[in-house]
Amino acid sequence: MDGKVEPRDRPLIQRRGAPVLLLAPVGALLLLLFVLPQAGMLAASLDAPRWSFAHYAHFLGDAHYLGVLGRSLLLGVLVVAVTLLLGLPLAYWLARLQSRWAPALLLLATFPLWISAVVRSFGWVVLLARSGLVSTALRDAGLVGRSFQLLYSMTGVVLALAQVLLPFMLLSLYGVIRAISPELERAAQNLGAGPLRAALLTTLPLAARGILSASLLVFALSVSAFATPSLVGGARVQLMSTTIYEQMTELADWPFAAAVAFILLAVVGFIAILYTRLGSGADGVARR
Amino acid sequence: MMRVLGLVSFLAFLYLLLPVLVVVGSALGETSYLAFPPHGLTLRWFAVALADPRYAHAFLTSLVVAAASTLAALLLGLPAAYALARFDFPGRRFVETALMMPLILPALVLSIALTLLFSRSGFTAGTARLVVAHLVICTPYVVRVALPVLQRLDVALEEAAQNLGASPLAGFLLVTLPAIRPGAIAAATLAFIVSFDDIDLAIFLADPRAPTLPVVIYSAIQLGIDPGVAAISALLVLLAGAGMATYQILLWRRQAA
Amino acid sequence: MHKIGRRAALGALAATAFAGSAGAQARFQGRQLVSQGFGGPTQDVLQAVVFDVLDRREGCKSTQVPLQSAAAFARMRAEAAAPQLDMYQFSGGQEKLAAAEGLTAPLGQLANLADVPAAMKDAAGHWTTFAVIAEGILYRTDKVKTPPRSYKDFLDPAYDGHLAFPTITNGYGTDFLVMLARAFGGGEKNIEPGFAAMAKFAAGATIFRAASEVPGLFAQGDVWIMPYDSTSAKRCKDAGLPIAFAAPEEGSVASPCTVCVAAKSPNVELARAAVDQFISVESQTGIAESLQWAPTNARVRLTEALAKQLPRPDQLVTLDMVTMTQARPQWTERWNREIGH
Repeated sequence: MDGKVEPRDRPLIQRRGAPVLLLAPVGALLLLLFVLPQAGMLAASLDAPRWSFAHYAHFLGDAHYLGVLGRSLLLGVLVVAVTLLLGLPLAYWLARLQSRWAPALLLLATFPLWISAVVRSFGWVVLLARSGLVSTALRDAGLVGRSFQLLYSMTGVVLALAQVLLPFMLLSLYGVIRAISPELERAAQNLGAGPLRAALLTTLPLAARGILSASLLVFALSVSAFATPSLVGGARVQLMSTTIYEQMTELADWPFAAAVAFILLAVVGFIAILYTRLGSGADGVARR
Repeated sequence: MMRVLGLVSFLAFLYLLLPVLVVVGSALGETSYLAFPPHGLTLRWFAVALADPRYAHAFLTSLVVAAASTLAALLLGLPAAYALARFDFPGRRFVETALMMPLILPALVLSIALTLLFSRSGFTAGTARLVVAHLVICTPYVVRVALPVLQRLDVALEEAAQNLGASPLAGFLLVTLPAIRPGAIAAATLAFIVSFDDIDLAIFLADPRAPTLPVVIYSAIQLGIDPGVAAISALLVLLAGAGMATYQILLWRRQAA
Repeated sequence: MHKIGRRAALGALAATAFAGSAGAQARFQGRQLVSQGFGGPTQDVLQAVVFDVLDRREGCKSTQVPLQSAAAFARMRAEAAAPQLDMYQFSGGQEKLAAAEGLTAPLGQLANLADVPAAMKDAAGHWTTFAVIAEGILYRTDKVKTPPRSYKDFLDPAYDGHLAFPTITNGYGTDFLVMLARAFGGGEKNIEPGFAAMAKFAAGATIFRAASEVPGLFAQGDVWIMPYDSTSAKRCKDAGLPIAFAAPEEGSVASPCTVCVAAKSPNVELARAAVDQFISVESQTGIAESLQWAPTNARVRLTEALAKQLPRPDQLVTLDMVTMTQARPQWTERWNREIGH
């Protein structure tokens, strides 16, 4: 054997040093194009060179603004819930479909993304407005009052945003489930489990990490989304992204806008770290 | 169970495609504002949209930018995802989370910070600026989507390759990459769409003389959206559909051969 | 694609432009100018009546980049070190802040600048107003039998559930608040009556952000009445909606559109020529004809028919922008708390 082969008792996963080469390009990208520019924004939010937390105190000390933060986080949670509820079954079905239509259907699921976010949001406005299809249907079914509309409400935003982000959830989950061999389920079924139980006991735990990863992605995207919540939510649904946008453009208050942005980054970043810790615990099978 | 799943999937598809139906449907309507179901049927909005050369130019620009961004994002992101999946080093989780940061920050903040950076450093080449900016948001997607797939991949496959004498790089290219192909394609598709669809970075950083399609659409809707804009979106969807159909037919031909 | 008045504008300009280009100066042959623009049909019209005329005469090529004023100002700040946009058109008062922050270049001695009244241009010569848009009340003629006459009409219970108004961060939203205050005995320095009045009808009203939503609100949102401007009224009418514009008795707020040049632009001279074009008689006439915006060049002579379509000068009111700019952050926070939830 040539000397390049790793000894069997030392798992691949423990190799050190080599990742630097693989991570250097991405690291350079992030450092130059993200960390560096954002450091400037961070300094602005701290009122450099006077250095004060005034803007942060302004936000964190105000119940109204804390409500805005809470609303954004709630939006993230709700959107993840909806996209998981619809996306997981759909991803599983597509991944396991023994049909030549499978790749085509996956592509079909990405169709909404080909339409510009702005146009899509207008489409939702048409659907959710008072005389829109959804409102009319609900009215005809006797479920709601005369002037009901889902537009300009949190519910409307969740609906619209979940539709926008469902393909992201779907594509992420599809890749994961596809990589899990169906043999495992067949084995479980051979041992007597029904198809649902087999999937839940074998594929689902193995996909857990991927599910967490996809959920985190959708959560982050929901919290940072602007176009859809702005158009579908209107002025009443005040979120972190709309607040940041307003402060940065209409009110031209960059220091405060930057402070709000970094509060968002810190909170979601913290949640992301928690999630990632959860993730490495959930899946112990892949490692030796 | 597949039947129940099929039903849920059908409903999910309906939910996914409802706004698409609305946009395509209202592009066919007679009224000069969006209406769904459309009042009357006409193709004149498609004629209007196709007659405007700005849309065609913007579409090509968007394609080029998205293709470049996707390629670069894959080249940067896949090795990074591999490193995060296969190696354990101090700060691994930190790097994983750090890579998500560009997705958490609203794109406007990214745009402004990048504009500041580019202006101060003299990087003024129009479309190149946009591709570089898109890298910042596309690469995290690639990592995010490819990472769990790589983590799930059985290391035994790579070990086997190495036991047979392949170098780690050869192992990656010949064994790992093909094995994660569905995940890599999903990552590439996402990155492409994200770049193609981006408006927040484009309105700040696109070359003023070569706007991308979302910028032209954004301009067109300033006073209100009309079916002409919906027609452009409908054409895009049709194009995607045609692409899908072609891909499917080629796939069948290859399988039949 | 949007040809509102474009043919008319081009037709009206044909004679003047032809005469202009006959003695072509072509000082800027081959040069490229980039301006930020308002986007949509407005941008197309301005391209035709201002920039294309400039291009023909000077041999240059002008492009506009669509960006709302507020976002445009953010870009102006961000790009200050190496501007990609040579000049800016603002409709939200950003020019004053831009000049104060040193982001603008002085306009210098422009041929037409002397014809713009002092009240409409910067004393230090860094920007000038090129048009005035009239704000007022838009209403559906099929749903509202008597045209609204006053901002007080918004409190009419008949409109409950059918009215909309822009959010506070939209310039027109702030103006609406101030005009409500004025209608009830207050004003820019006493905004209390404005908030009190707004609170009375806000609960059932639709609050929107941008002009792009206006036609949709009338078409699908079951909205009958809203405060906005003549441009959106025209847009709705052109789209086939039964909308009319009413000038309230408290006055139509005169919303100025200004133009300025980016300080470190590599094309300052060309941009200055473009500003001069904006306020030239031929382009000002074109703007008035195609957009029904009031011109600012005192030498512009309008036909009777056209003058009727434009806001009457005695109906226009100007608001105290200084007080408003100062009070805006407080008003915004109060508005977010009390109204927009």
